Formats: sequence, structure tokens, C-alpha cells
Amino acid sequence: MAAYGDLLEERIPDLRRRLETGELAPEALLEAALERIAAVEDRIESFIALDPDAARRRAAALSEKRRRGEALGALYGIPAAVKDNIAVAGLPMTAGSRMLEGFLPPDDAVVTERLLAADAVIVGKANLDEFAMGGSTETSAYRTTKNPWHPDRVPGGSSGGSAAAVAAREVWYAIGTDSGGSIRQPASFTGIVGFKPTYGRIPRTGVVAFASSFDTVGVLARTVEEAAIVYDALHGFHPSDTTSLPRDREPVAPTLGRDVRGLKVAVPTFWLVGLHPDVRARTEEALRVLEGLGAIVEPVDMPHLAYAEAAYTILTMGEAASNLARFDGLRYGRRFSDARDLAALYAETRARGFGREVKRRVLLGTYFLSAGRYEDMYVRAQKVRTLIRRDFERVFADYDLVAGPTVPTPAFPLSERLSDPVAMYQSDRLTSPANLAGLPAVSVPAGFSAEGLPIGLQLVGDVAEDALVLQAAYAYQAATEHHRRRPAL
Amino acid sequence: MAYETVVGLEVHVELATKTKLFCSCRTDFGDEPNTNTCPICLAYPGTLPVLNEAAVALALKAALALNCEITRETKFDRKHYFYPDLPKAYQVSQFDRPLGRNGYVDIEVDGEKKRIRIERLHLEEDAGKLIHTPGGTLVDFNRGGVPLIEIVTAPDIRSGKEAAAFLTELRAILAYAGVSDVRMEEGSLRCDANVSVRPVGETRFGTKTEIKNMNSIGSVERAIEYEAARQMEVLAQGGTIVQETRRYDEARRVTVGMRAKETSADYRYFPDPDLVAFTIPEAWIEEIRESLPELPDARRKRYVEEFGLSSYDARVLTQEKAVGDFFEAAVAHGGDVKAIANWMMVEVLGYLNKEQKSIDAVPMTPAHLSRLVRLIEDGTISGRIAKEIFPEVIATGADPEALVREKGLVQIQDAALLEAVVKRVLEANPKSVADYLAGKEKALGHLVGQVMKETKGKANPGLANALLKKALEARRGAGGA
Amino acid sequence: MAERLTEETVQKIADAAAIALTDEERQTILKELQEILDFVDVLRAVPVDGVEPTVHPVPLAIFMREDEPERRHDREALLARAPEAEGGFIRVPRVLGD
Repeated sequence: MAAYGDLLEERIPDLRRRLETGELAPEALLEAALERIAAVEDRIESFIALDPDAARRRAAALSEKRRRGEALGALYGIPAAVKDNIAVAGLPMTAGSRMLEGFLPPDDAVVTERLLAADAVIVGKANLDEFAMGGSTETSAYRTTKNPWHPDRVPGGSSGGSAAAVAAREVWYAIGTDSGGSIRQPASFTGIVGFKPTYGRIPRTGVVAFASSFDTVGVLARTVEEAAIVYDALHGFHPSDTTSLPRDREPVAPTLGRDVRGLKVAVPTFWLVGLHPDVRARTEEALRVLEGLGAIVEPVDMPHLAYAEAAYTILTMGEAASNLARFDGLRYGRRFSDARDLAALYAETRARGFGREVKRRVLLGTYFLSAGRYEDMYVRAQKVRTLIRRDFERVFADYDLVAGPTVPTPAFPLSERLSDPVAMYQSDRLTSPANLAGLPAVSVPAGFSAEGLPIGLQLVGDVAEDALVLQAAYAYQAATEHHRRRPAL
Repeated sequence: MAYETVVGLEVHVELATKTKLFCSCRTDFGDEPNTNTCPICLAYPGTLPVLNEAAVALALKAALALNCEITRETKFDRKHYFYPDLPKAYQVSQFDRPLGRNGYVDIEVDGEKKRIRIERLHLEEDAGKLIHTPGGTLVDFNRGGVPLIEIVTAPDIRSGKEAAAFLTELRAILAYAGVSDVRMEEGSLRCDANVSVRPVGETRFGTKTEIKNMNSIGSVERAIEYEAARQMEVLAQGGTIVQETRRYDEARRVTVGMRAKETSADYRYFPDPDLVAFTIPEAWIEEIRESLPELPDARRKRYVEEFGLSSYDARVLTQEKAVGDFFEAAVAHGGDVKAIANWMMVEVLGYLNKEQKSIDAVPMTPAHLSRLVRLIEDGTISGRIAKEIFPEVIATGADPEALVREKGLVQIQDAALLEAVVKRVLEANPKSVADYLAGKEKALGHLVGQVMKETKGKANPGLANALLKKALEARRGAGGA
Repeated sequence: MAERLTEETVQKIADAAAIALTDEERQTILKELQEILDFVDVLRAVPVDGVEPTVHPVPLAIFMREDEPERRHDREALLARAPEAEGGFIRVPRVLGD
């Protein structure tokens, strides 16, 4: 444990160098992770499934690869967690739902293929809110993940298992999905970096759909540099997802360190109201740090941000109702009914297979798409989505980035908002605009609340400006020490 | 009161692609159940649709062949309903931006021409197939996801006969364009009919019923005639028509109500966020337009003008593209066009009909048919011999000329040879000879028949006729009377 | 103002979504759905006349696949994931009505 303890604090570029020279073996690094998992997992519960034996076989195969003198991938030997709504062939995929209990996906997701092509080691599947619907990871049908900084606080969600695993040093990075803040909000709550790329940058193939035009695959890691290295291995068009985007012009990680002097940063006034006082204070400090680095920080008015949460709610619920219609207990997954009547079989299976939050959203989504409400509610929300995009377009005509807090509050207590859906949805109000507009956005550690809970700074860039977002976040992180603190576990 | 029938058709046509609309599974008909399936067409979580370019191209081709305007800015929408043959519980279809709009098909019924308007043509995916057994329903998803076009006509059809003419012409057009193999019996062309009746002179529509389960053009015609008559009867008795879906029972030749059509059926259409809305390039449309072959209507006109065929004959020969192609190839090899046309219509089509074969499946070549006709023309064989050897020619692909030689069927053209036969026939048929000499010209026919019989049909009938006459007249001159 | 939901409306939605509800669930869910409906009602204040609806947030180019068959999955492996399969078919309760 003592020998491994240091390894846990080492960063991916250093580990990667040592693994390449052979000074450190993938097996040894994996054992460090497995030992850490064994030590903290029963308190954190980041994972739905762990497969140490498969991970060990993989590490051994990677060792062999090095011995054969083959070229080694960018993530060679680095242990990772994958959110359980992303397919990893050989491991079950539940999406946090009873409906998919025991389901074995026949293929790897494209993002998984790319992780493996970069020689990553996947140790397990991370917990999440059921079908990624939630902001606390409490709607998972399997377990409740705790915030590594405080045992009675949520880790955020829906990628709460991914965030907790990284924050608790169980893995060096994790893959998550973000449809309204599901990477950035838990990253903010657990004091790590959460990067949601531009919509489409990382293909969705093999990712269980929640809301197709919002769902974005991204990265959770301890530092911006690590997030960039992982992102570089994963992004780019794939012919199996025709809503995916081409690769960035050049890898992002090598461009980190770019000077941010003269960068124009807009801060929407609406994002500074209704905040927890500590969040407000940390955000203002963070903005001063950016100014100190030579950035020009100015308030802007974005009139439609106030409507983001409502538009997000209608649109994602509508898409979710449609995307989740396929779960009927006929072709795969579980059938929760012995009914010999088909309609009853559907209704009982879906009543018992889906949890409460999912049912809520599917019912409302069905309502929003129904005749008589569709034009008035769904199409109206699509138009408000256009207005929000236009607000961003106007700002990006004059500014390089939009900045603000990631979440209005630090991590809230377990079960506090479970029965208050509206309060839960409002915790997305600062993150969902980037999904409505498809923009790249990052949450980076910006300090702590008085109670010692992490607080995140959010930076949002224009479409396809993923590199700029990471460059600015990197500059901020290089000027601050928040990411060096670790939870006492 | 006099009523008129008003019919609109909804026709589903499977496109002749190798793979499905959104995945790379084969579209082959009749394979083992569920062998042409994959995680995409079984709607596994995490799968995404990838549009098949060939399906879009074929749908555009169909739209152009049916004189549609192309909706250049188009998209796909999801149509939701729960049913075991629909894996995603939504069908990917096109709602408000169908690929084609405002087309038409011209038909001819009882010599009258009529234009049937096509309101829309859109691209969508087919559902799987259900097989009902006492113990449960079995689902085969081989057909699930096969690309379909749905063609919706305006309510321009006024009878079962017009519906049949429309479907016959539609089928011919789509087959000519190579869009589909249009086999109703295999389900690659399916038709539902919306039928209503109204008093003659009324401009508003009556309440309609939707008729399903018609699996041939004939059954569409019969179902519509039956349903229209049924509705008129209901109205005549003072009843009202209930809007419903009715199933056609071919065995009993009646339509039977299925269930009151839920007027509240709400498909909750919305644009599919997994598929990108797109603009069809003008150049692509032009390229497809140029690739369209001559369509049946144009070909019929050409047969009338170029070959001097009657419009009826032209219609028969152009119904199927392969039949027209065969005919034209035979004409190109030489021989009288009308004679070839007659052989095609009577012998060739008769054989295909009887054997339930398509023309591509017979070994006979167009060159053989041309040769057969020319053998008659040059007097080598009689029409009777030609008809006799035809079954072998068409079934085995034997060269007619070789067959005639091999079997010694060449016509007896030699008067010296025939004179002996004539002599024998006259001696053996004294009664016919007497009749002829008594002025009954008809008796000559019998005698010619006897000569043909004696020569096993090889005698040139004209020569036999002439020789008989000559011999009979000689007898008359000899004062036999 | 947002539509006032009734238990009947909630049941209709549940039928369309194919989700069974107990009487008790119907009442709790009615209350929760109503709260959310009231919350999203703010959108009525936004003037949206003449605004194009957004389907995808970023510009995406159309990509189409070539019509080449590919078979990567064995039928038996796929059917093994179905709760009920028989003789190469997926089995479901008997469908009536047609």
C-alpha cells in the first residue's frame, strides 16, 4: 500500500513515460488501482461492475505488447472506469436500470474501441443515475455512490460513479456522458476536471441514448492535461454515428500552455445570481485569477439563459420517451411480467423495469410529444433552443469564452432532492445551456466551500473550440493549487 | 339514388436494395428467420441508424418516375407505436417532408384515359413479420428495417377496375425503373384502400373505411367493388358508414370489420435526432433522372408509332419490361414485327402464364423466336409445325432451325412428291371428291386436311391446295360427271 | 397557465407510454408532473414567432452508407439475449385482433 500510495498521486504523462521505459509495468499500476478500490470502494461505491481478472489479463497482454517492441498507445496501461451506459464487450451494461440487468452488449462502443486502441485498461463500469437521468447518481437501481469528500453528500450525477472513482483515486480517469451537465456537475462536486466536448466530437455509438441531440461523451480526470490526453485519443468522426464530427485540426494536449493573455471572457450576469455564497465567492476569485493571467473578463447579458432549464426539460424528456420506448422485455433485457396479454406485458415490464425518475421523464416526454401539446410545448422549446444558441453566437462574436460557476451550490446531502424533481433539475441550470447549444465546456476545480466541499469553475467555448476551452482551463489550473488537494478517505 | 365510389390507395413498395435502410443486414426474402438481423435492426441500446444511400437513390428514382416534385430539404421523423414487430417502438418514416410530392400516373380503362394524382411518396423502414401460433406469436425481424416507399394517391379512383389499372401501371413503372421487384405475393408491393361512396354530384367525401389484406391486384379490385357495394347498400337502407379498418377475406370475397379505427391514434411524430436533416443536391436528382429507362407509357407510344401495333397489343407487350425487351430483341433479329408480336402475345405469354414462369427463366432466346417466325415466312415450315415444335423450343432452348431439320419437318415443296399423295387421298375419299364436283367447295378443305395428315403436316398447305384443285378439275374435265 | 392535469389525462399518457400505474402512483405522479409542467410554463413568455426550431445544436454534414451487406452477428448469440426465443424466432404473448 505504501509503495502504491505514491503511484496514485502520479499524473498520466509521468506514468506513461515510466510504463514506456519499462520502469513500471502495467500490471503493477493496475494492482495499485485494484488495491485502492478494495480499500475505499465499500465506502464510495463508484462501480456497478468490476472485473479485476479481465483487467489483469489486459495488463499482462499490454506488457507482452511492449516486450514485442510494438508501438504503445497514448493511454498505455493506465486504469480507467467507464460509465455503465457505455458498452464494453465482455462486461454487463445496465445503464443503472433493472430493465437491463444482466444485459451483455455484443459490441464495444466506439469510445471503448478507441480507449482499447490507445492501450487503456478498463477496470469496471461506473455507477450512474438510471439511464443518465438525474443529478445525484441516486436514481441508480443498484447502489448509491457517495461523495469522496463527504460521506453524506451526493457525488453529483449522472456520471457520479465516474467522478467519485477519479476523485477517490480508484482510477486515473473515467469516461462519462453529459446531456445537461452530467460530467461537469459531478466533476464540480468532487473536485476534479470534467470535460464535455462539442456535441458529436466523440461518437455515441454504443452509448445508451437518453436524449440523442444532447448526449455527449466526455472525460473526467484529475487535471486538464490528463483530460486533454484522453480526449485526443477519443474524438473524431465514426461512420456508425452520422451525428459525429471530424477530428480537431491537431491534438489538443500538445497545445496546452498557450498564453491566455488578451483572451476575452464573458460572464453572463444571470449565472451570478441565486448562487450559494461560497460558490459566488470562489467564482469571483477564479475570474480574478483569469484576469491576473491577462484575460479580459466582462459581464454580458444573455436574455434567454433564464429559459434554458425549461427548454432542456421538455426537449430531453421528449427524446427520452422516444429513445426508451424500445425497452419492452421482448428482444433483450428483462421481462417483468408473466402476462399473456401483450399490452399488459409491456405496461408491467416498463412499470417494474424503470425507476421512478425515468418513469416521470418518460411520461412527461410522452405528454410533450402528444397531439395538441407538441407544437405548443415541444416545438416552442426547440425554438427557445435556437434563441439560446443565438445568445451564444452573439457573445462569441466578441468573446472567446463564456465563464461562470458550474453548479449554483456545492454537493447537496444524499436524498435531499430525490423527491423534489424541480429542485434537482435546477441544479443543471448553469450546465444545460452548453448542451442546448452543443458547445464544448469544462468544469475545473476552483476551491472549496466553508464546509470543505469542492466548487467548480465552468468555461464554455464556441462550437468546435474544444482546444481553446482546454487551453484556458489549463492556464487557470497552472495558476491554482485546488486540484492538488485530495479527499481524506 | 345513384352513388359513386371514391378510392384512395396507400401502396407500400420494398426497394430493391441489397441491405436495409439503416443497417447492413441483407434484405433477401425467404431466408431462415432472424438470420438477417443485427443489434441495429433489433434496436439494441446504443445502436444508431446509418442511412443507406442506395435506398434514397431508389426512392428518388421512384419519385421521378411517378412525376413527383422532389422535396430537396428533407428529413426523417419517428412514428411511435408499441407492437412486437416494431423493435424501437417507433418507425423511422417521413412526416412533413416526404421525398416526393404531387406526382401522377396515367391509366386507361375501357379506352378512356385518366390521371391519378399521387399526393406523396416517402421513405420509411418496414416492420418485422409476426407468425401467430396457438402457443404465442413468433417474430421474425428479417424484414424489419427493409427500405419501403409509401405512395399515397389522391382520392381520384372511382372503381375497383381503375384501382387495378393504377396498380398494374404503377407496378410496371416501378419495375421498369428498377426500383423494386414489385411482387405482391412476396409482399414487396402491398396495398391498402380507403373506400367511400357518395351520391353522384356530391363534392364532399363520404365516411371512408380502410381495406387491408389484399394480396393481388385482382383482390384489390374485388375488395373495392365489394366494399363500395356494401356501403351503398348500408346507405340505401338508411344506415350510416362507420369509419373502421376492414379486412378482405379472399376466400369468401367479402370485407370484414376489424376494429373501430381509433380516431385518437397519436403517433407522436417528431424529427429523429439520430439522423441529420439534409439537402438533396440538384446534380444528384439530375443524375437519377437521366438514369431512368424508357417507361411503359413511352414504350407503348413507340410500339404504336414505330411498329404499327394496336394500342392494346402495345399495352400487353409493355406490361412487363422483360417481355418488351424480349420482343424488341426478337424484332432486331429479323422477321415480321406483327407476326413476332402475335407469337409473343399468344404462345410466349400463354406458356409463361401456364407455367407460372417469368420470361427471364425460359431458355428460349429472342433469336430463336425470330428464327421460328422467319422459318414460317420463308415457307420452310408451316404455322402448324411451328406451333408443334414451340413447346420444345421455349422449354429447352433448342434452335428451331436445327430442330426442324433433325426431325425432318421441312415442308414438302416438291410437287412431284405431293402429287402421289394427292392421288392416294382422292382415291381414298370418293365421297369428298363427289361432293366437290357437285359444287360443294367446302369438301376441298377436308381433302387438304387429309393431305396434311398423310404428310404429318409437312406438306406446304398452299401447294397441296393447288395440286388437289388441279387434279379435281382434271377429273371434272374428263367428264367424270 | 400550464394545463391542469387530471388522473384521466395521466392515465392516457401512461397508456401511450405503456407504463402501468397503480392508483396511488397515479396520484403522486399527477402531482409531480403538474409541478414540472408549471415549471416549464415560463417558456410561454418567450416570443418565438418566426424562429426556426433547432433539432441538432451544431451543423452536421449528411453521411450515407454504401449498400454493401455485412454480417457480424450470429443469430443464436443475439437470440440468446431474448427472454423467450424458439426455433430462430423471438417469442411474445399471442397478439390478438388481426
